[in-house]
Amino acid sequence: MVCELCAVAKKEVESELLYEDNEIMAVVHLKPAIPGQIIVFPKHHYPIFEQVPDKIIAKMFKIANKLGIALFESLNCHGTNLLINNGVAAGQTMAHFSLNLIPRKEKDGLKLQWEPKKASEEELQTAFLMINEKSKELHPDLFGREEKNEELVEERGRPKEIKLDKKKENYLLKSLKRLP
Amino acid sequence: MPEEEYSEEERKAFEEKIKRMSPEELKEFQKRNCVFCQIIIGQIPAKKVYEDDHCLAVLEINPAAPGHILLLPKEHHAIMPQIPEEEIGHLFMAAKHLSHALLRGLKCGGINLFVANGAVAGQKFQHFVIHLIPRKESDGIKLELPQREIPEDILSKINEVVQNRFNELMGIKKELVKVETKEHAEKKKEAADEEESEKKKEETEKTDPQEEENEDEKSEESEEEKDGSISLDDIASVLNGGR
Repeated sequence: MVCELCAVAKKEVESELLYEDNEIMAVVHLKPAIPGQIIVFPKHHYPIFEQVPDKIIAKMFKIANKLGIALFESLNCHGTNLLINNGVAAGQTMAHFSLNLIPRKEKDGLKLQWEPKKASEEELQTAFLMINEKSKELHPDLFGREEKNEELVEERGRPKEIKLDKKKENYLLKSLKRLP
Repeated sequence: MPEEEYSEEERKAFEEKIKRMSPEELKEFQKRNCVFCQIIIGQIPAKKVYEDDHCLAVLEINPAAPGHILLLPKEHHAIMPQIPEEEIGHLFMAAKHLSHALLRGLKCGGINLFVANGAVAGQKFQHFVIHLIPRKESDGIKLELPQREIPEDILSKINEVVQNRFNELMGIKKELVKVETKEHAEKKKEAADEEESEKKKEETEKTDPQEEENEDEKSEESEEEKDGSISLDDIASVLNGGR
């Protein structure tokens, strides 16, 4: 199985290239929800968001921001969306991490929305506790220490690799590997 | 925020007041009226899942699904283009780690990261927000992108206009030249030359007025291509008419 985006990155297929450097690429999406949709992705094959190094994430979004402005000004759209589908349940269709930039206009026929639900205090508190516990376990540097804010700002400069527990990550990657 | 009704006079006075405000005063005014700025300074309570000097993440109280996180910059910005580059890098690095924690903590099937710039795009708040939404199969949340077939020439034109503007913004000096068109025009000329020489061999008198016609057509066509046969209006109509 050849990864579509890897093929684009290696120039094995043609693309409408907008931006390229050593680490990332941005192309006009060839089967867009709205014409003008741009896809930004790392050249290296990272299946999911969490595996992409911080440095590359920072660059991807800075470029995405500029592309968003370019979209807004050159296509005269009224707004833009930035969307990441991380995981099959979230609508991920390619097993290669990417972000989508979509130009929006009134009545363009695209529905990106949800019904806000009334969550009970219990539900919120449960979610809150689970997130807090897990975040401290996964990233004690970032989530565990409230006093060390100044250090955090400096640490930003260093690219952080996430060491995923292989047992735990399998279920998500497994579902991705099942993608056509 | 509660909706208050002002009389005509009060509203006018209000508008005048805003016009006369300095940028700093305007910023203060925005902050006082922004729910999220209030949360940031602790005036309104919220469940905080992450905080540092630059950003704050809280649980959305009317979520798409429980665990829905709102990640926001501490500085009041309305939309992403207004946010300084450094902040962008930091915000999305935090978003990644939060997404990770959300995924593992709630054991959900996926996470959507969603940003809306502009009301048309679904922006609900005046303060810039990154939505991190936990997803499960068949949860009814519509954050998938359909795929449409769009003619190649429209996509090429889009590439050209967006790239030109993007290069300007990035300070990249690269003029996007229609290489295809030049080559195309050159090839056409070569082919036409070949035809001409062949025709000259066969008929000398009759081809002269024809050649002139051909040449005129050629120059017209190459001009058209220089201007761009796909106009922005065409793209606009595709953007508008598409369903």
